[in-house]
Amino acid sequence: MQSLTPKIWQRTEVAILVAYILMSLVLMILPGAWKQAIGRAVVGTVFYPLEKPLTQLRSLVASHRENRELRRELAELKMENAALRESGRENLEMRQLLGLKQRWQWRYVAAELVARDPGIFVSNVLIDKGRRDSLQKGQVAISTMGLVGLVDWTDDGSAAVKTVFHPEVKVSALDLRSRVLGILRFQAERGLILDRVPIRSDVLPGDSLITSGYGGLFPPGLMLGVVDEVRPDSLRLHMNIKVKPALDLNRLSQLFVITGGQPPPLPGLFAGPADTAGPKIRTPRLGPIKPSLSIRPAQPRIVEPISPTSPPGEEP
Amino acid sequence: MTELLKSMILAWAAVFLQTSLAPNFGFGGIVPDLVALAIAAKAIKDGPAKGTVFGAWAGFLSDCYHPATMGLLTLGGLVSGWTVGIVREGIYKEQPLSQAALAAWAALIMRSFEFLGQGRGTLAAFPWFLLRWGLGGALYTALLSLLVMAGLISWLGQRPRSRLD
Repeated sequence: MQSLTPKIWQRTEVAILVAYILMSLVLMILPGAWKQAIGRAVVGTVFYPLEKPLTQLRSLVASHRENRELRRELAELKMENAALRESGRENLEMRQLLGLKQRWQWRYVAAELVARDPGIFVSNVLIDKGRRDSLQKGQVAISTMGLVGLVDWTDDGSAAVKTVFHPEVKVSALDLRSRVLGILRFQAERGLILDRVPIRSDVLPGDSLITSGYGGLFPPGLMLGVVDEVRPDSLRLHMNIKVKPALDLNRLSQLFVITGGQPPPLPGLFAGPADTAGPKIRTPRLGPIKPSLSIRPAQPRIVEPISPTSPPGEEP
Repeated sequence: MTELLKSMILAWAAVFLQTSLAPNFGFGGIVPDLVALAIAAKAIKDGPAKGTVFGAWAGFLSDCYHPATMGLLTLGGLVSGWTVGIVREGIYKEQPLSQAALAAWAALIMRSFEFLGQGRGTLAAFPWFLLRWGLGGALYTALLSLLVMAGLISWLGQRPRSRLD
């Protein structure tokens, strides 16, 4: 009788294993909306109530450290701001003279990051603002580092953002120096890459990449990263371009979701004299730039929200 | 009842800490896998059956943060729990090094499921992925296991119980 016990036990183990495998398979084949509803309900009720206070505590500690750094930066920026104000005033005067409209103004909601995807590649982050704060699926999230991603789903008081490290997120990118266009996407084996760039395109390590805005989903001018490595692919048709991301999710604690406003105009594709003149003149290489995110309260005027023309996550 | 409650608290705490605190302790993109560590602790203490159940639930909680591929980490978690529970029978499971190896194994399984199921890359890139991300995370988890595994197991119960006892 005793010799049979381990066998029965083994059978129970196998039965449990099979039952739970079936349960996981059922979860896999559930419709996407059900999966999202389950995920939202569990995260919202089981984790979020404690994640938010922890985030607040963490940001309190972090803000003390950041404060010193920001004071130094503030002094530098004040000087820069004075010069830019002067240029802005001149620009406004010139635009008024030429009868052009005011350029752009975003409306956005500031949100704290409360949790990250537990996987190696953080493709989703959870934030503490949701439908109550006018957040909607498909809205663009940015930070002082540049583009963060797209709002994936929203709840009353929280939302999930698909970051640029999500395999479904593809961004139309522009080389700031040479104006070469490409598609920025994430690959597990290579990290962030700039795809669909023809061979012999003028892309060099150190070039800054920004959103081009041509897909209609992401506004132009948001920092994406810096070209890290350039080499031709095996067929010598395209270039393999590795990109060092501007976004560091380990340092990201606050982000801004663009809820509406007027996006900036699309950038030109011509690199100026370097492309049009006969002899090639190399323009000075730009290092990583700081995105010009204006942290000002939204204007009282009513503006239409940015409406994505492509399915969320992918630009044509 | 206490055992069930403790297991639920452990699964919740592992996922909670993984999503909120673990990224702050990462370096070079390598983060310890606290969920795998918890699954290994439960499976080492209670064997494959309870390891499977615990792994499935901890994996399901992780899945909720990535609903598009829901079920994937549930499967990864239960396979981790089951294999750790089976392997523990053939080794000196009380030794910290054995426990660390099992935690690393659980982390590798979870990462493999994540890579293969979430369409992160081609199959040809899988060995590279394991070398670059999987192995680093597994070693980090193993190191952490040397520090906390004994405490976790003793909190869950008194000593690892074997089906051969």
